[in-house]
Amino acid sequence: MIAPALVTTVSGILLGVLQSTLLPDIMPGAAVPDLALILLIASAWSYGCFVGEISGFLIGLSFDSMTLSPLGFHAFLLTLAGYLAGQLQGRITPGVWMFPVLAILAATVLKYAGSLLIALILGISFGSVGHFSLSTAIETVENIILTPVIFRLFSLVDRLINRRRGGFR
Amino acid sequence: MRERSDKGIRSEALLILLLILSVLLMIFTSVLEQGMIRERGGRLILFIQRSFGTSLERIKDGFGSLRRLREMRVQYESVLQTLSDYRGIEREAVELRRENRVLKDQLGFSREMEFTNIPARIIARDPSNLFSSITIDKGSMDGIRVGTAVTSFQDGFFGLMGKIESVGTRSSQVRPIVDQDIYVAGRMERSRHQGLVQGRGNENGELIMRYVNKSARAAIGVNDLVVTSGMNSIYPPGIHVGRVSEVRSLEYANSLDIILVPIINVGSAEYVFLLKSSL
Repeated sequence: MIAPALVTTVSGILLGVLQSTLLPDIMPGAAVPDLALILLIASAWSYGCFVGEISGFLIGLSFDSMTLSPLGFHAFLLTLAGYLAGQLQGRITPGVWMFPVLAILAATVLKYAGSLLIALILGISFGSVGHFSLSTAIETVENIILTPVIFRLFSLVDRLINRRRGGFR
Repeated sequence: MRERSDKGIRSEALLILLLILSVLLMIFTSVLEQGMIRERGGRLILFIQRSFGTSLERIKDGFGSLRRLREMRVQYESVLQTLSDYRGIEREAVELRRENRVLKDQLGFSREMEFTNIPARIIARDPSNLFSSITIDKGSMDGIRVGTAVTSFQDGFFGLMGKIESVGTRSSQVRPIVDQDIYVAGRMERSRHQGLVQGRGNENGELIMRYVNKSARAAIGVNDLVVTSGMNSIYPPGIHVGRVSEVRSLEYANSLDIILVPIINVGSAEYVFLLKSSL
């Protein structure tokens, strides 16, 4: 379980860097898709809660160091998202289209609702934290479009590793 | 069955542990100086982000150079045309400048304040769409400090963009003025009435100027410019902040609420200038 957690974490951090550098210039609107979140959900769904929690926490910490959020802000949200996605393992077969899209929709809602809740508890002004708005809608649409792609890629890479090296497990 | 239940308990225990750790980190960073922890803990991430951002900018520079050449040729033609117009204006300006100098001397403004600046490039933005932070490619090694005023040049205006919130060795994070946690002492450029400008959040990208006396209502119009007043502030005076888009005079309030559109659109800015005089 250490190897998939490590690979998910490193890939998630790299996707986070991509989200902060390249994507703002090429994506329409004022929002970028949360590729790291999609990858986290895909990985946690496939490998379970442990991978989801550890990777979510570490990816979240890297996001915290890239933004002005308090340290632990994204870590909290992504740990929770990773755990919840890990709960789906063995219960629902992810496939590529419908269930992943529904899961990402729920994760996006969790991200925004959770961030407002944390802001409320920590006394961070609401205007400093993104909330449900046009850019949220753009991000959600972008996430929905890219979810099947990321899940498909994840499943291909996962299958390839499983075939060649007997997998991570 | 039992193994699955044990696994569930273990993952829930880990979840609780990590969530508690996250909360403790949040509390800890709220109490202690954030920049210090960020600088130490996130050095590797910031290094990766900076390296990636800088490389990306170089690649973009290469591909964009041809397009820019074409644009520059068009601009060159237009500039030549404008230049001949300006030559006429320059003659008048020389005379006006001389007259202005004399008047300033008479008023006691013998020294004009000038700002030296450090140019920097925006290399990254917020990856999660939750915060409005911007990362630039200059850090403590370039003499940047927390609180440095960040400006930019857009559409012919030199405007305030935000302030440095945390500094790494080779990169820094900027909190833009649209953020609700930023306050700027402002002044109407035309009528000279003063107030306090605050961000209204990242989503609508507007600012609000408060504490402007109601008696100023008639003197303030849409599209009037607001500049920094420099009073008890890290921001030097005379930098453009925003343009009036709406003036609200509520009956129960004893001051005006003026809605401003920032002069600098943070989303489209590529370069910034850090004002050394505010260091």
